[in-house]
Amino acid sequence: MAIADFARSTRESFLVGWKIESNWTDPVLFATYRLVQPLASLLIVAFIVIIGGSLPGPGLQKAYMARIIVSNAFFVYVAQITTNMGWLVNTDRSRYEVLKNIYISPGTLHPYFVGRGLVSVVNATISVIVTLLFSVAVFNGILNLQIPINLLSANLLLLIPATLLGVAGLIAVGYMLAAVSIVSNRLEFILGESVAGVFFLLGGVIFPISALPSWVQPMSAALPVTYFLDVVRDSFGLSATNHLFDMAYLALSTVAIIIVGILVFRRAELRAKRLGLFDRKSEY
Amino acid sequence: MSLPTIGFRDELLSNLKAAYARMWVRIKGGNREATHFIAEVFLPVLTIGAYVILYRSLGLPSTLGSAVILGGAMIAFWMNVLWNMSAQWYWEKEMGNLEMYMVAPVSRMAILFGMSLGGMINTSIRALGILILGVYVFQVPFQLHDIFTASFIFLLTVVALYSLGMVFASLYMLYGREVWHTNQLLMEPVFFLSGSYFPSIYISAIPFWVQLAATAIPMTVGLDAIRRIAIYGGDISTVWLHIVALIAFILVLFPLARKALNFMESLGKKEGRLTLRWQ
Amino acid sequence: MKRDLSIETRSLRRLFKGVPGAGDVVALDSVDLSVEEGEIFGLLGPNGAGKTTLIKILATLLLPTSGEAYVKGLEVVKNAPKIRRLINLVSGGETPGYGILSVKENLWFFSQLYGLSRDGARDRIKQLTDQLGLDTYVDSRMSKLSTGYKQRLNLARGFINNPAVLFLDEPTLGLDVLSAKQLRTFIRSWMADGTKTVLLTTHYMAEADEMCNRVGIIDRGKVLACDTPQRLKMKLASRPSWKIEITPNIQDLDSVRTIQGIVGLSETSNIETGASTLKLVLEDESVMSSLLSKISQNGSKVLAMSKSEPTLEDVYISLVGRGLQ
Repeated sequence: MAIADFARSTRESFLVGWKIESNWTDPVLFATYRLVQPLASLLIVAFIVIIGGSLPGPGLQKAYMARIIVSNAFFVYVAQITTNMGWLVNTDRSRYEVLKNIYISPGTLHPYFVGRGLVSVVNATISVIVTLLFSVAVFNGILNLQIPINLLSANLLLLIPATLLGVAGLIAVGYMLAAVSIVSNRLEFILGESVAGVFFLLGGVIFPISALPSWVQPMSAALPVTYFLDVVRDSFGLSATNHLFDMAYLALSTVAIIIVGILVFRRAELRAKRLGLFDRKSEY
Repeated sequence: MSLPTIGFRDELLSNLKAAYARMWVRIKGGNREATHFIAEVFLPVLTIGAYVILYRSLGLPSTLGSAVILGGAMIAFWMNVLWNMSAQWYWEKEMGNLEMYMVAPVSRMAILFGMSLGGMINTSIRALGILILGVYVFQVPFQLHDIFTASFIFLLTVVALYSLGMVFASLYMLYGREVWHTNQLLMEPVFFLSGSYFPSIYISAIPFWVQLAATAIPMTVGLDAIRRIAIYGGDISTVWLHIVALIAFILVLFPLARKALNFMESLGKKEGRLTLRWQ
Repeated sequence: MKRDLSIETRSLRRLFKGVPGAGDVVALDSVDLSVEEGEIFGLLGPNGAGKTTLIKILATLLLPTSGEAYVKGLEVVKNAPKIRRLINLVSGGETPGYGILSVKENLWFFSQLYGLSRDGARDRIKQLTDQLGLDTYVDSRMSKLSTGYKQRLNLARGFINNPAVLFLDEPTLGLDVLSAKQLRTFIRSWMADGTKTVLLTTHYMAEADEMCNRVGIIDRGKVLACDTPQRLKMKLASRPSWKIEITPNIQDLDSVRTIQGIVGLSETSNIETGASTLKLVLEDESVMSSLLSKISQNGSKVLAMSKSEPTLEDVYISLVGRGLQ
């Protein structure tokens, strides 16, 4: 399939996804929804740190707060892409009953999933930006906690490539989840959230991976998400890891996940055809 | 025309049968799939684990870890209330079942009551699993002396939560895809306000207005009371105000659910959207 | 209201909000209808004619905008809970129930919504599954059933409470010819005691002709005719019905419709032969010459033509002006 055709199908799928997932209300309400959920997640951990700071001891750990704000904001990419792509097959196969039509139209299935994944990326990007701005306004503005975070000083040469690589890897993970969802029944309820849950625990989102039990740390160190968040924090000057190593690992692991994602998808596609699963309805 | 008249006793019996049947469907359907059960116990433990480790890495008291585990168990109820109570008429509509319920000669409250009972039973089993697994894995301390009061408060909290679920179910009745967005909106913000992962009331570090807003959620009150008894060794004298508040929630929410249900059903019939799918 | 009326509507009207700027959509317009106890009453009409709207109002799912509707003498707005004890509704194409539960479990659940006793429910489920050919699938999950068997389960649900008034909204949708025939036989035997009433909507003229004691033809919210199929056909006897087979088909059918003296016209095409069959209801035979010259102008050849006894479809064509196909 020509690249132009792939790009066109991806764009059309993106527009369909945008209409279904995002264009359901007015922009202000939409932005509010995009803000409330990630902000509440952030406030949970932020208040844990604030409560910790109010107890006898070292006081408020401001650097820790900054780390949590940035990690939580960017974790939205992980949560939204995995959850939405894990759920996508269910809605399109069982609810809207269009998966079979997409499959039989020439060469649209792969760009369709990519396009729908990109909707999550755009939605998540809006959430990330709004959450970062709001966090700074709340913690450094209203509460005057003087958290060492300066959004304007972010190293974009690190941040942009890391985000692009991280997002590409996550879409590949979402691709795999969609593949598993095609050949499984009723797993869609748990697929995306399970993966997001594992990444939340092991990805060093709200604590450094050194806080994990030693036998879990190698698993954490193998996850691309860990490096994605590391580089993102680096770009805001919030940790001092080896950028070059992190970026190289992120790039290689992203390529590896994309290859594995395509292979898994192909296997799932074959199995789905063999068992006639493209129009199966979920059981409730 | 002679039509059979139905006495109060028969009507009550008929509604109880319907409630029992709906409860049975929920229990049977909810436990037929082992992978779901396992996921519903293990998934919350992943998140709980992250918070327990956060507390540890901040060097905070281990009782906060116990609080998180109780909070995680209680979140299971909130999730069930949101997705399997509030959104239930929406699911039924999408499956083509709402029409069937609406032409059946039973009170919709009986159906909601049956759903609630089934949900409570299913989720209690899961919450117990989360609690046992959480305590086993993270080895956090508990000091439970007054098991009767703890159980009573737990029961009141769950009844209040499901009464709220009934109110939401009625309000969601005419919803289309807004269901998804509304439920998403009621997850993390409620986890935050209700103090599921940290105590959100009677804590000086939390602004007063946040604490006040938090007490409007039955889970906040119930969870705080259970923590006081199960973690800090309190008894009924330390939580009597919580008990009064929870009873007040039930007394307000249950009749409100009935009123909201009648109003929304009538509105749906008027606008012709009651059983309209794919909105 | 008369004692023996199971369903009655008086000046029943229902409006729906249309797209912005287009005004309200009239789904039902002053519908007056009476269905007696023991009758199978058929509602015939094209898509969007108002059939389902009428059924939804009678089944207490929708409020009328104005007018009155009664089921067993009970007004539908004020007495909805009482009416629900007497009715049931089967919408063809819908498959209510829980996929994860078996046929028997689903039917047991439905029976409990109607307060059946344990033994009563067991016997009723056995009887219905036997009679509707579901007996070999009672322990199968609903999600594993084929479309036709799901529809049978839907029908069994409709009969579970032995309703006094049953609303069947296109009940044979999704059923093969044999299953549809079995269903018709079952409905007739179920109605044998003369106390049950069925209001049926269908697109199948032969089904309506075979089953219904009376039919109402509805289009754009108005009931255009209401009588027994025999009497409706007799009324048409003075108007000749013709069947003309032509090839190739006529592109601009409306130009034929406008010929003076043509009451109604429908066309069915045979994809294999490329021929089309025109079914016409005429004012009188004198129209034939204009009609044949129009066919000739179109470049079509007449392959065969025959005069036929009026059918219910002819009645429909003459009233609505077009066929259902």
